[in-house]
Amino acid sequence: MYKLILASRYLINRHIAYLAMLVVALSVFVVIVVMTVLQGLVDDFKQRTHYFVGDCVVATDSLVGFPYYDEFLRVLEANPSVEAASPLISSYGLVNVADDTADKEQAAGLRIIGIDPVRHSRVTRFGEALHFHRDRIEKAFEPVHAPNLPGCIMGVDLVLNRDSKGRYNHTWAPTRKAYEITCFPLTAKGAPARAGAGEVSTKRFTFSDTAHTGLPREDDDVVYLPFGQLQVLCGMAGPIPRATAIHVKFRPGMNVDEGTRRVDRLWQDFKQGCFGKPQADLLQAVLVKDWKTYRRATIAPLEKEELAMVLMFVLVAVTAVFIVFVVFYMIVGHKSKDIGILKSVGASNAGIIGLFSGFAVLVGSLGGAVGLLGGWVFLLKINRLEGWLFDHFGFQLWDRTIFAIGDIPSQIHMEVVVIVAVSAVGVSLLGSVVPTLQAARTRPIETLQVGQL
Amino acid sequence: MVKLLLWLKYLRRRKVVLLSVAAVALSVALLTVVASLFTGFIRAYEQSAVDLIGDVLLTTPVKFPEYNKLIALLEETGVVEAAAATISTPGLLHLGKGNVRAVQVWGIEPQRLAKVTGLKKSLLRQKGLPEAPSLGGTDPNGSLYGFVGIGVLAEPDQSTDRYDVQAVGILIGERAVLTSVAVEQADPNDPGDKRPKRRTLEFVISDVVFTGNFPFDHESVFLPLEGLHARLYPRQPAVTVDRIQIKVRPGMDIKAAKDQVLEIWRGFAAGTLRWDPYRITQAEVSTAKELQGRYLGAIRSQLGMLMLIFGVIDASAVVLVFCIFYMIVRLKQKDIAILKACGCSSVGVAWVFLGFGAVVGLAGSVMGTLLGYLFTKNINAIEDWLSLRAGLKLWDSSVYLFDRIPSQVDWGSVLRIAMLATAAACIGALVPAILAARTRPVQILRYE
Repeated sequence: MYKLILASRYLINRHIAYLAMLVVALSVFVVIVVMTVLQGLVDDFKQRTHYFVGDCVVATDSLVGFPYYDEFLRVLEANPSVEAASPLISSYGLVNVADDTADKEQAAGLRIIGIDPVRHSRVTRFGEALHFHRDRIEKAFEPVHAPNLPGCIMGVDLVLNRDSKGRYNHTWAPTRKAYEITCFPLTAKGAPARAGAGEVSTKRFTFSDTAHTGLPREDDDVVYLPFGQLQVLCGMAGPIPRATAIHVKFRPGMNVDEGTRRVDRLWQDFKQGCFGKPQADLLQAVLVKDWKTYRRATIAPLEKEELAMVLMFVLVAVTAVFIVFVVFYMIVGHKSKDIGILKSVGASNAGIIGLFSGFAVLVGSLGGAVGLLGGWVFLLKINRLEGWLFDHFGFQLWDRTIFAIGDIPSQIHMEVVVIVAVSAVGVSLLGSVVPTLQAARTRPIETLQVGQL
Repeated sequence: MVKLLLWLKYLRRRKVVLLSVAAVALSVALLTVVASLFTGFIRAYEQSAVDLIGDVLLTTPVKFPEYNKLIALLEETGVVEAAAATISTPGLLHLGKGNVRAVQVWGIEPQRLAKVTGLKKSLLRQKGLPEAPSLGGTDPNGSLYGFVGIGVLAEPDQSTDRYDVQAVGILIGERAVLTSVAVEQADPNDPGDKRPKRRTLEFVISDVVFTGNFPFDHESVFLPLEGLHARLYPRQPAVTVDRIQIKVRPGMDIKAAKDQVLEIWRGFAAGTLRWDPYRITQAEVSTAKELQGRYLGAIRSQLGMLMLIFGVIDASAVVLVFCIFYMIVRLKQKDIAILKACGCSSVGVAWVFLGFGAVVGLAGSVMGTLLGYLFTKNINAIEDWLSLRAGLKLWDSSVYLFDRIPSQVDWGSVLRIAMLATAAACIGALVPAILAARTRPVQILRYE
């Protein structure tokens, strides 16, 4: 009982302890704000990636693609773990504005993706990325002004600019523009297909919609075409049609890792069953991956930056430990007579350790609580604050015309709060270890001696 | 003299003072590393732009002929050391067995371009040769020779982020097929009727380009200017270009050179090309730095924010210095009282502790600068070690553009950080110094 009373008394009377609390609060505040924003950005990116890819992908990296994808689609759709599956072709093409009357050429080498929009929207959230056809996904490739012409969907950054608030003005969308899209048709052996009767590698498409997925590379570099049209352009149509990927969505409640393993088993069995069929060798290059592994190359750098920031904050924690150490060193030095009296009336070493450890926990908890509260309030207002700074000083933390970021993430995650709160108490305890042990080793006979000259 | 003796005594006897030195050192080291890395990245980005583009770039809305005349006019001025004309077009490169890559194709005159940019030192085969780089003319089949970016031919190793240069070198001499597009007049009687036409050409890889700039290495193909132009626009006998890359003479002001280039271009476009004034003004003349300005502005903003965050936290070092000095003043009250009793003024006593604060700040800054310098200079070795031993690859050229982490210490920032750290330590020592100055000897030295 005396421990609690004394610890509280020291907290109230020893104003120097407020300094330690202040430092802990400041460190907690900065860590909670920075980690919330960073984690929010990473989580947002991961979520958009998940929405774009689906749960699992059966794909090959080769632009030749693989055959018998339609048969495997039927196998997947018959499986109880799978809710929907969608074939996809990914290739490269040259995109040129077809009816440009100016002299300037506007050709660009871009990624071309062929999809069935209805099927693909059952697997991913592609439909939500569209602007003009969001509610009529089946007409996604019908140009608004010319529904009979073959349409193409452009990544939003290819046709529109972001304003300073990160928004797009779709009244400027090129709704009447046509594009010549040239693809490199390949045979099943990977050789370029010679242009022959009926084999076309250039076709004109009219703008039908924009796709705003929130993923910078996709919004800046991808044109979507109807699956069948791209299949012809890439030389993948014919008696044994090919595709480059199948995207899969699992039924609700199915764990992604478990679902991916099941799909992989299905694929291995299917591959065995196709042994000996024409072009079956192309199936060897096909792999089954969950969405995170499939997009590892883009997700991993963000996770590493989070880790680097955590390592830097460890250094910050070291400084806080130093400060807590010095404050407790001073308090213990000043209270040596109190400690001597306590020990002389029967307090044990463990009791003294308990007293100062409890004091450290109090300092860490209160400092952590103040820091967390301050961080929470700051995060609540962070977007308004940034808006105010931008309106009055033209300052933005991230230039929205360059960075594909919307509002600054401000949702605090409970696990971050718990980790930071526990760390604050831990830092306090760590800093108080040496002074506490020193206090415990105090000998009453030395501290209670009458002062000597 | 007394002050110096006391400082050294406190530094030796009061081990806890070393904590404040360590805290200042840690703060200075952290800020030094962050400032150096960001500034190094910005400098590398700017230098990369100069190495790839030159100092000044002229781009026109449409291609124009007689570029040799323009280059001669530019080189006659005292400000331009060299100029080179280029054209560019997007393309699809087929390297065999389903390996198709989207590329940017550049039509160049390699000898001229080597004087303007760092092309020669980027070539794997020709960088060590004394003569100017060459594309090699045409082979017996009439195919062109060309340079290809290293990232087009191979991907860097996932764990080391390094290219297998030897394996890539084996591809020199291989053929590649390029498909591109050229806008041409479809109807000879109707100049307004322009259609994109697909062009396919074969070329032989004569060298590999490795600039260290990931996006550039990942998508660039270089072909001879005249050969590429002839194949893209077979009906146009005269070679036309839409870019002039310019190197300014060393020591010249780049902005002034840019203005001069603009003036020469206007005269050339009006007099030789006979363009109308509106079309002339559509041409853009920019310095390499201006072209990167917006992006680098955003990076500088990030640096400022990061320095602010770490600066606020490192201000806790002020608190640490305060606590330690406060403790020393309380413990050394008798010393202070004796000093004052012997005639030392209050100001003198205050200066003892302020000066000691400055010494602590200075010592911490020196140590922190040394620590930061060592870390920054060896950052690539540390990253390599982490990647090999812990499997943790922190720096990826596909994300951060360059294959090596910039490791130049920014001494300007370091000096500012060290000064601020010393000032912060003095601020931390201020209140204890005032308390020490207000010590009354008669109260302290009284026998109880």
